[in-house]
Amino acid sequence: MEILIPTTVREAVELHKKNSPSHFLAGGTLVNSRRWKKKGSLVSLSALGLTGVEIHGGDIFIGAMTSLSEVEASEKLTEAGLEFLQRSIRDLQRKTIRNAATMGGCVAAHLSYADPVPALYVLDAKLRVQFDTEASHSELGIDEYMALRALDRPLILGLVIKRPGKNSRFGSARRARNAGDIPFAKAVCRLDMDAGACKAARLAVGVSGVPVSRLPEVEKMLVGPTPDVDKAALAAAEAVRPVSDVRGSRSFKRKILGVLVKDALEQALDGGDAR
Amino acid sequence: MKVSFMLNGQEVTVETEADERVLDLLRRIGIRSVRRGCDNEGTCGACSILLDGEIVCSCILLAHQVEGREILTVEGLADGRELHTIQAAFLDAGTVQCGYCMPGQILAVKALLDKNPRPNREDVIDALSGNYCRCTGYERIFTAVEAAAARLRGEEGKVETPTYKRDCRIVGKSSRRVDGEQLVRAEPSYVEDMVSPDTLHIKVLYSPHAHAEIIDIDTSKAEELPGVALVVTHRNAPDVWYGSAGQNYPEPSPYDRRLVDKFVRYVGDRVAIVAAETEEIAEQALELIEVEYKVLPAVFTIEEAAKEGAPLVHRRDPSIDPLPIGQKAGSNLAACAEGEIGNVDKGFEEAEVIIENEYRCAQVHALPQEPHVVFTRMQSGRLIIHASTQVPWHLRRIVARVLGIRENRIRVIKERVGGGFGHKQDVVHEEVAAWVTWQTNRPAYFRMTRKEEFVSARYRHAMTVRIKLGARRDGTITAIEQTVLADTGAYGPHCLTVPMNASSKSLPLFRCPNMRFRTFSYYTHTPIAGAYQGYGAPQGAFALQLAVAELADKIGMDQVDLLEKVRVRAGDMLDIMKILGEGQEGIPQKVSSCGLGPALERGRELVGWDDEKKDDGRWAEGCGVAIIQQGSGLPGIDAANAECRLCGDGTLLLLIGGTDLGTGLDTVAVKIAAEVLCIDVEDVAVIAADTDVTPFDVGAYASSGTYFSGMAAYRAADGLKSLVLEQAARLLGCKAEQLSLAPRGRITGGPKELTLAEVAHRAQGGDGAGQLAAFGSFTTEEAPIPYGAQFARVLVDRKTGLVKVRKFAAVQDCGTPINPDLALGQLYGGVMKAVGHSLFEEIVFDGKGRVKNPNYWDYKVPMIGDVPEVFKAELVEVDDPLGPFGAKSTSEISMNGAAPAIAAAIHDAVGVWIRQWPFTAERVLEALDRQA
Repeated sequence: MEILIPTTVREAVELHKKNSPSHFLAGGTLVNSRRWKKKGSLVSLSALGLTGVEIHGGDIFIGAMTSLSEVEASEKLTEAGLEFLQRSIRDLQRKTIRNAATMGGCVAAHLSYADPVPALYVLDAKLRVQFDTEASHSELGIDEYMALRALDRPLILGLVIKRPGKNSRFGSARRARNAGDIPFAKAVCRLDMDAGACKAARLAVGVSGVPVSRLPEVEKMLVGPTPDVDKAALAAAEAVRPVSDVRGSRSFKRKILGVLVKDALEQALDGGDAR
Repeated sequence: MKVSFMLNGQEVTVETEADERVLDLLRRIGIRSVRRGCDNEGTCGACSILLDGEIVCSCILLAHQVEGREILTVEGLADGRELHTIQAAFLDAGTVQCGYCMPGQILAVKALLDKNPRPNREDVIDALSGNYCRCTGYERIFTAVEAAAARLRGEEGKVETPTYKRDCRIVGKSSRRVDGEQLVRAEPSYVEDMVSPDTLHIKVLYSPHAHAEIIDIDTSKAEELPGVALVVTHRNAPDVWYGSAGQNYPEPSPYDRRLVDKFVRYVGDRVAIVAAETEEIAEQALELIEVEYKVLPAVFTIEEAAKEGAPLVHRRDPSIDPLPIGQKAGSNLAACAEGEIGNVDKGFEEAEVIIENEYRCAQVHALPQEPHVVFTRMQSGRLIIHASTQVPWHLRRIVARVLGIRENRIRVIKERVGGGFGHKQDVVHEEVAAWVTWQTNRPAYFRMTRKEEFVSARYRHAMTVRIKLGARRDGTITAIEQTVLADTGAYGPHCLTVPMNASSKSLPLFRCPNMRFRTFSYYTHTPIAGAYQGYGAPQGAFALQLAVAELADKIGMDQVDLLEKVRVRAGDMLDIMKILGEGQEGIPQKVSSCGLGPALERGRELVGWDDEKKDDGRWAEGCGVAIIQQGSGLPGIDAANAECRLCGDGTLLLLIGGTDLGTGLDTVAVKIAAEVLCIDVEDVAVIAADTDVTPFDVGAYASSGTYFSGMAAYRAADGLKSLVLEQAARLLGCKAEQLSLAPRGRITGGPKELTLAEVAHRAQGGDGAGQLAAFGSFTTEEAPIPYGAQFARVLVDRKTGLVKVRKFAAVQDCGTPINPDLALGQLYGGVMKAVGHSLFEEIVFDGKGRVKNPNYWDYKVPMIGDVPEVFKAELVEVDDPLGPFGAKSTSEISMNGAAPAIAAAIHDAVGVWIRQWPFTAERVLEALDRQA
């Protein structure tokens, strides 16, 4: 396995293109592990910087190589109203991994169990990316990024998040087999409330074995003066397609997901982002 | 490429490959504290380092990622001979057991305390959330962190522990373990630290089929690969049948395997062995071996194996087995036994209530952090085996058989063991390395990967236990029938004794005149089952204790009250033990002491048995209890020896055959000898478990350590005491009976006081009688039984089936705890393993006998976040007349109570009986759905 160590973003993008197939190496908690099976060279981002948190008015920027722990501990982010994201990171119950894994890597890996990803979805996080050496950076939604062919995905420079409004309410629920395990089901929601009514809803779910996804049809059901959480939970459970694995059968995961969606929605309706 | 970084305060520049793992790089440059536990998936934390002050796994970091950064390992903590405060606190709190994962934990605590001088329990859980420890059960880590934090703040940071045995100076009081300092410093201790550079590395080609005949195997390409020294297949393997069970000869286990055989009997069975100059070459060579298999039909469950006409796992002649154990040629029955006391049928006729159910236990894994590992070498024509084993002498005997040589051509040196738990009682792979070295005259190293551990080591037996229980409405038990069906896997080490233990460690807990047991052990085409802490008792206890809980429910009696009524008591004669021998007639035992009464009383308090239980409609709380027992070695079978040699200055060399697996046996033996000779622990140096140097001991299994090896140490010390007093009497011109030993090596009662040093000098000098040394041997026909009560208080989520253990109390009668801290550590560790087995641990197979979860990613083990909010282990004071200073065994028993206690608590909470472990959320939810 060849490892290329660029020192600039442009060089990184160039090496990635020249050495196809190649993959970006961020913190390495997936790519350096025995679970990484893809072939090709690695373009290491270790010498690029790309770390830190910046706040510009209502825009929050998190460098792609910022570790999950740094985000979790960032006072700037707490002040900017992103405690919800910070707690989602804490859900990943291994300090050793949070210290090494990066925000950009987490999104790029886009695994069903990546705890912060559903939170990023409901925060409408955008990715600041670099496609090629000449053009300037651009922004993509997480879904747009994931829709690209794996080897064509651009270098993630960071995440751009709009400061959530005062009326945004968050909820989150997860289940794992034990404290050290990845969640086999997770539901995260954001309800933007106005005078007791839900003006906009975002719901993201992750079930082990399938990628994290937003559930737009269910989100629509939630908008209105009295969101019907039972109906939404049922619809969410029906919308996902879990697979049976050592963490549970398909039917079990689906059932649990319905419970968790309801839990998350009730948390949000019950007064903000209490968990 | 070159990489530069700061390592423990020193700038280091190392030539490396960009993709070299930091773990490998650090070990290559002499850092031993980083250890591989999880095959590079970042799930266990054994390789932890502090990188710029943060705890990370070095196994998933590549060398170039540490360029210009700062690394701290445990080697950089101590200040010369002065331990770091955290290292000292870990020792003082009795946290250290096998020590293998301890460096990572110590670093995690350092990272925490550097930022947070007053951490709460949640902070500690978070800080250590990536560090897996199988030994400690984590609870004592909280104590260590509290002490370390206080000391770092300049406070006293004293660790309070209970004391026992007032008439003793040393026994019954906690002190640091004698090997503790080397472990927290990460000094060379384990087999992997002993490997020399010119060593061959061993890799094994494993069968992809559950059952097949090897029609052809072509190893020519592998043999031609430069760097390959030896390839072994069934064609050139020794034609010797042997058993891998590390039991005393004659073993009650079959001789049913060869080093490599023409038939493979499970996915993971050996097909070929390669020894090469490097691991990488050995792996390449494996890929060059071409094998033609004839795939044969297979059986994967007890039910399939037991069917008439089922495919046979073995077609062999059982007459070569050392003992008849009920094996039946032409079937898959590997062993069977049955027996009865009283009149069971009549007992059922007298019953007013009958409970009859079947209980199932899945295969689970012991998973010590250090995998099976061995290093072999030749010296002066003898084979030297550096082993991580519980049974040095059995290992020597089995290897001698495989190699066809005499035992005195082999020396086994037991290094520090990075966790054993019974898992290292078997000779799992040592004979492979021994054969390679014997054939090549080269050192050989075989360290199993985590995947190999999961697939080719040993499991706890899957069992189906049927219980029929008859009782009167007042709770009196009139009859018990227990039928145990066990899956021994493809080979039969312990195939009789583990399932029999399910009965012999569960039935004698109850006063019942009519009892019957039946044991049937079957071969299947699945990985091998073997010894594991508890040794069948957890499965037996789960079934019988839960059946008794069901009885309590049925007759409307409080579970604790029922157990108090029907439990065994001191002085009871256990006639059933006569029919529960291990391949031979057993010995009826009298209960020499029994702390069950106070244990039940105290556990009831600790867990809040009588407190109100919460139920908000979704989350419901419930309590459950189990009474448990184990043994203290095997009377009539086990044996231990020790020797005490007095040095010229009055200090002591203690040589014991006993095998410390991290359990603290060396410390226990030292304390016993020190107590007898009225000297301090520091005055005793222990040398243990070296077949050339120390005397014979059967090894560490069957909870024999404290009683057998401890009694041998006691007798050796007592013998030396007599010699000392006789020698002193000669010097003083008085009678030895007048004299006695007094604290700190003084001899009093004569015309003047002498010291041990004076006596020793005179004895070993030219005008003396020679060095004062005494030998102690211990065999017996009676052994004390440790008892305990374990209580669980759980919360069950009716919507998801999730079970949370909120409180757990383990109250133990281990007689006199020789070192209370270490005894408590054993309890906490055993309980957490059992909690894992009860709630989420389970080996999962696909339909072809392949393990679906052979790694820590998919097979979950308890982490610190799984520790109950309130987790209490306590020892009740019981002075037993048999053991050394009243001691009984401690460790194994702690595995036996969690499953039945938690299952009973689940029923108490939500009204469903879960009769199959683990009690996964899915299983509980299914039961709730059925109930609804």
